[in-house]
Amino acid sequence: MRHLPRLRGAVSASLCCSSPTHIRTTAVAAVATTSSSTKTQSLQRRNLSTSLPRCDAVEAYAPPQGLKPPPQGWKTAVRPDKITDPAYEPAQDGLGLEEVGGLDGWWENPANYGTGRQWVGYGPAEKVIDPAVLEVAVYRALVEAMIARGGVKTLTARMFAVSDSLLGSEWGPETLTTTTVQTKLCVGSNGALEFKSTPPEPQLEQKVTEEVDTAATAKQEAEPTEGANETEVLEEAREEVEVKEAVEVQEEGLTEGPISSETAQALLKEIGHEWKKATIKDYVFKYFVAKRIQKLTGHIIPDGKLVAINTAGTLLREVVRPPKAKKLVEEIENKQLFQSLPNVRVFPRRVTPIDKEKMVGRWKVIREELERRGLPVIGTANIDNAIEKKWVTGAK
Amino acid sequence: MMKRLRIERAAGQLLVARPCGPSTPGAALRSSYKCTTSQVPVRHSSSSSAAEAEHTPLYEEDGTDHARFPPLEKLPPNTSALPSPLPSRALESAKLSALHARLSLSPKIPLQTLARTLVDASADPNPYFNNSSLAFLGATIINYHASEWFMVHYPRLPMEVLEAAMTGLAGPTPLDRIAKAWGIEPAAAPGGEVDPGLLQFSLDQPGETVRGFGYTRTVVDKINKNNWQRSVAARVIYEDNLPALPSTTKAKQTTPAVAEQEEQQQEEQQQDDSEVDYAETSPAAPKFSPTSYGSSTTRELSEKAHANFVRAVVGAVFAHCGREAAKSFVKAHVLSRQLDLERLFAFKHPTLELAMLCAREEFDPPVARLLSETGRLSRTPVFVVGVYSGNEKLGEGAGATLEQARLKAAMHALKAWYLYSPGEGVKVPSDVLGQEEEEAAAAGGKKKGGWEPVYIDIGELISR
Repeated sequence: MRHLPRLRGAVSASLCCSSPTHIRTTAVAAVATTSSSTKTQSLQRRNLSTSLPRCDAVEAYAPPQGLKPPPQGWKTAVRPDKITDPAYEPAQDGLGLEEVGGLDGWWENPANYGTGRQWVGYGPAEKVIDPAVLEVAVYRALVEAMIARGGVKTLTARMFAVSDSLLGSEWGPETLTTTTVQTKLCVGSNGALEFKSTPPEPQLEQKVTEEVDTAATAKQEAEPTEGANETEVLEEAREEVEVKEAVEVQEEGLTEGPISSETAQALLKEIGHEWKKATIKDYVFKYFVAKRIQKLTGHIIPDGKLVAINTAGTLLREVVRPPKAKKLVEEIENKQLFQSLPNVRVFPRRVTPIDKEKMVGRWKVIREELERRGLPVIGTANIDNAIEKKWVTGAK
Repeated sequence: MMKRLRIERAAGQLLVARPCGPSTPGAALRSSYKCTTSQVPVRHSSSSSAAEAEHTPLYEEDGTDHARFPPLEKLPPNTSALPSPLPSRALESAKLSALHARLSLSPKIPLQTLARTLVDASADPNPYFNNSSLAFLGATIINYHASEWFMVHYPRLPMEVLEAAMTGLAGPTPLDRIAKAWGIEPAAAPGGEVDPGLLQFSLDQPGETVRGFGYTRTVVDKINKNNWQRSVAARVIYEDNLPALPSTTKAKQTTPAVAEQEEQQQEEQQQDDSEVDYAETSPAAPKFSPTSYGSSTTRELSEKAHANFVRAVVGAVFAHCGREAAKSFVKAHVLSRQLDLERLFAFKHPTLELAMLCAREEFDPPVARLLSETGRLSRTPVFVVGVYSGNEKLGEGAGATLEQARLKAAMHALKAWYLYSPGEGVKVPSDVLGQEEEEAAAAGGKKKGGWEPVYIDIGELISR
């Protein structure tokens, strides 16, 4: 049996758990931080035990919010001779009585589950279908990714550190999308995606950090979305941020969610098409963009396809293109293959013998006759193969 | 915890699921819940009273599981109670479109009309939805073109033979064969849910057919009642019951309530009873082999229904495309058939008839002469006899005896006379019908038309 290596040296404080429910996440985070910091600690990572660290302070198990466990204890019904209700009438037999009590089907009742364990998806429940809105979403994701990256070509930890709030933000009010889209992207000299007006990097990062902070505070106060970090990166950014915050405070009543199709089409006229020719090669950048697209539209781009995507236009096409039809009949309907042939009829499912009888008009006759004889119309009505044997032997 | 005894539950007590299909994040929880796979949302009723889960079905309920097998045709409820399919369904039937194309019908003929031609009167008694009126129209057109063709191309044909020829070319049997050659398939039972491309007729109740319009002569009632026989010529003149026309049969009432009424009526009016008895068509001599499908009655009904369909198609062509199109349709499908007229003759006294013919035509009286013979004293003699009028041979026949050969020769002579034809290039009256109208209109009243009078015979010698 292989000997499991144990930790040598003191266990770092971050590895001690604070609450049982967050054991895994904190351990993983701790490992991540330790691995990225120094090389000596990488040795520690290799020697990390696969079992959970022992924790002395374990809190009591707290069930998910809203969960209703089955009732315990007993309840006794009132004795029949002690019932005072004048309208009570004792039943002569059990037919038609309501069954009360018992744990049967307790967990089949969704009302007993509550909302604590309900799965909340990352993206919206319904995917965005409108191609104009999708194009605007892709453009916005690219702009946000460019802002988060700053002027540096490859950026890993800094991007994540800066853009946590950026990643998690949703559509927000319509003005946010509009101002984001006003940031112009273009194809640079080497074919890569660039801002039309390139700002110096440190100013950009500072601005973004400030915007993120202001956005966070604004969100805590008035619960608007953190849209302040998607503005233009020049000096006009600050003014816009202030303007936007005011706008957001005023327009709290605006419904969040994807923009309307008409707005998207109007925005597309400003965006143009030259940004689609730009190349995108950085994996992390692509991943950021894909994650934003998922958050905004619900469309998931598989990793395999993401590796193959090298231009912004390809990325857009991947998102906009509708999925392949799952059934042949759906594809025939989409492509309208047999619309011009009136003597062709496509059925969405297998044509059963009963369908053929219906088309010929015999089914109603069959059904009437079977019902007249008291025979099951479909199936065998719980009469199995050995029914005669049962009759003979007397088994029930 | 001990469960209570399971007692029979009313259907309303069961907790019925909402429609399946996770669309919200919370639906993942409910996916494990038992779905009674009904697409229609059912109201949950927990009361033990006899209230069943009420729901209005979207489509016709036909005893099948609509969740497992969604209906292929989304028909509204009670469609199968209709006697025939709705006209709107004609646009969705592939069979009907294929039939329309197969017959090369003009686009002027809508699919709804073609669907109507496939509904027999026995399936749907409503004259606005069945093919009875179109069938009558088509029957008159077919009979007209067939009869004028015979009259022009075989002017000396005896009346009985003409009747038989009309039946053989445009009667129910050849029209039935034409329908089957067109690929018409019958429905098993008529109804609103049947494919509109199938021929629908009922074997239980023969429907009423249109035989004519106008008034019937009182003589007709006497004939039908007293079973008077009339000669063919008289029938042609006084009545219009050419055998090619469909005959009326009284519709039988199958519902008990109406049957009771019918019995009361029959008790009151005994005269009608006898008429009804006579009017019912007696089954003709068996013309199908004993191994044919069904009974003689069902075969006859099927034949009538197919024949009516062909007539209805001709009527539809006339109604939508006009006279010329209907004529070319009849020529292509009906008149192009081969009919051996020679085999339709049946002589009783051929020598007498031939003698009368020669006397009338002022030929020399016929003389039979033995032309050749062989094996007179053997078991199989053959005598070849020729009938001469003067020096001209009228006919020749071979037989096993001299008498037989003589009779045959006379029959051949008569056939040669009766089957005279001026040729194939002779015009029929309908060929110049349009021309005359056009020229009359152009000439401003002066009739000059392209009609050349055809040969009209004096008639047959012995009328039956």
